[in-house]
Amino acid sequence: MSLLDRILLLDIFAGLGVTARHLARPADTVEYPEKAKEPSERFRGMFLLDEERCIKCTLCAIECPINIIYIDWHSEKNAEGKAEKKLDRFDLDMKRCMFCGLCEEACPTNPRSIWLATKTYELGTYERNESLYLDIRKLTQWDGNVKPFPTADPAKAPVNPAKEK
Amino acid sequence: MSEGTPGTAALVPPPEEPTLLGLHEMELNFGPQHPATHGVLRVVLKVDGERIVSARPDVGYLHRGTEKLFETETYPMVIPHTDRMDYVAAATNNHAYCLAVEKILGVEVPKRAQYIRVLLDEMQRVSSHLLWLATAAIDLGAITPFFYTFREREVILDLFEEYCGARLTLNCMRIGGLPVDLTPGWVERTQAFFETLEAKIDEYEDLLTENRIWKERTVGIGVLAADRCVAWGVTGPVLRAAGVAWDVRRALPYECYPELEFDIPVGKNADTYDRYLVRVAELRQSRRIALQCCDWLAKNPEGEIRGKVPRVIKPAAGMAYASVEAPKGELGFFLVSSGANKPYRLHVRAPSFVNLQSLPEMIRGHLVSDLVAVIGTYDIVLGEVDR
Repeated sequence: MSLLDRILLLDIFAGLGVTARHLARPADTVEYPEKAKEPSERFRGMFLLDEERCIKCTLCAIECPINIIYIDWHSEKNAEGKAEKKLDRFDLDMKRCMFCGLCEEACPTNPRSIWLATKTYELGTYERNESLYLDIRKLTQWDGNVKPFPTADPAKAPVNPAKEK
Repeated sequence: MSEGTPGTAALVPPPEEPTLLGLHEMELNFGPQHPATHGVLRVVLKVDGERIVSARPDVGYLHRGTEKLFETETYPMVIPHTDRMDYVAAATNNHAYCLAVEKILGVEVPKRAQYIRVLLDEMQRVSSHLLWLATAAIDLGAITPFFYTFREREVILDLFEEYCGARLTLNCMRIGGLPVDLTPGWVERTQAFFETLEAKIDEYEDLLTENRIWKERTVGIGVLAADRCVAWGVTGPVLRAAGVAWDVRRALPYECYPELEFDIPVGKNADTYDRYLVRVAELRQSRRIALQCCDWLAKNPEGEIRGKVPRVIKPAAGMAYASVEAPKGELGFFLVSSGANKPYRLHVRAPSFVNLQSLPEMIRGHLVSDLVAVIGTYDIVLGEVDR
């Protein structure tokens, strides 16, 4: 390092120059929770279940790596006298879910009976078991635990795929 | 690791006259809650004044028994667990595991899936190196690179989110290929990002490369010569900074790497500063590979993304080892199959764990403040060290 460099601190000013160039730039961050970034279409968030489409095959429960899905069903005669599976329980331990999406991939119905692409990610609660150990009542309701993403334009808000047949 | 092993006996200095307190050496705990240990690493130091006489890394604070857990899961169910080892580079973890299972099954991965996988790997490498640059610089007192690198990393995470739906724990590869195809416009957006990356890397270099404070803290610190690196089994940028051009992408090619053009940057002095230079050069090379992949994918927008894999994966009894060049070094999966639908044994050769073993040798004789620089230079992720 030459004497001139020692006095003029050229290397330090090169770094400060980068900082100075960024002074006038607009901020890249947003003020959460006043503003929130909308997740992408494939974003894996909170579950949604369509009870009518579900064929009670329990493949999602089998494929789950941490066994957090519990399904119980019984057989019932419908009006035509045919045997039909009825869901008794569809429980999900949301506290342990790691949102890998393997249950959604395992679902054999077309369209699928489980969605993770609900764009819901605000799942923090005060009561851990009441809100995060979910039963079928909470899993199938769009406005319960699965809240639509608060987009500015209500027309653009994601719709409940279960109701869109 | 410190007292019992031969060769380390020389670490203990000859007895001297007792000082006022009757002690020369003091035992000092560094971590596991120290913010500069990048997680929960505990280093038991023996210090003589400010100088480190010996260091013993004490790992296991984040041990989750992942390797045992693998044995209880069927083959596809293992993939989300591999995300959680090196959690800042999940794509390479997925890739290495899938390669091992594909090897034992004998499955051919379609060309398009190979290119997408390589592109995801390189994006992951860029994001991991950017995170390393941010945290290593912040450890040594340079806070500005943190903001700039995280800005670019955010773009990569957004691209990951658009492709597979997650930002960090990606679960973005499947045995035999990929879970989903690319979304429309994804390749163009990725290409546009990598086009702008070169100027951004110049910016980081402006901040650090010639900065005299950065150089004072890194030049000549933590030297581990090439022969010692090889003896310890160190891989990745730490080995390449010592002048050994060992890169799994070139040495044991996998996927479509033989078709891509890239250089292997190597250092000379094997110190912390050279490791920084090697990683920055790797950012540029990753950008080069990613742009070639984008070109190929733009030319081939259609195609299979998943090979012919049976519905229930039950490989014949046998063994397979597959490795990839993860951002931290050579990441390998050694799979033993007993013919069941679950692995009999799945051992992970984690680069962070292997690299960390050389810490006592690298830090000997340095000051306590240099320990922060040396731990930073390894680019360890404790999730991978402890598994």
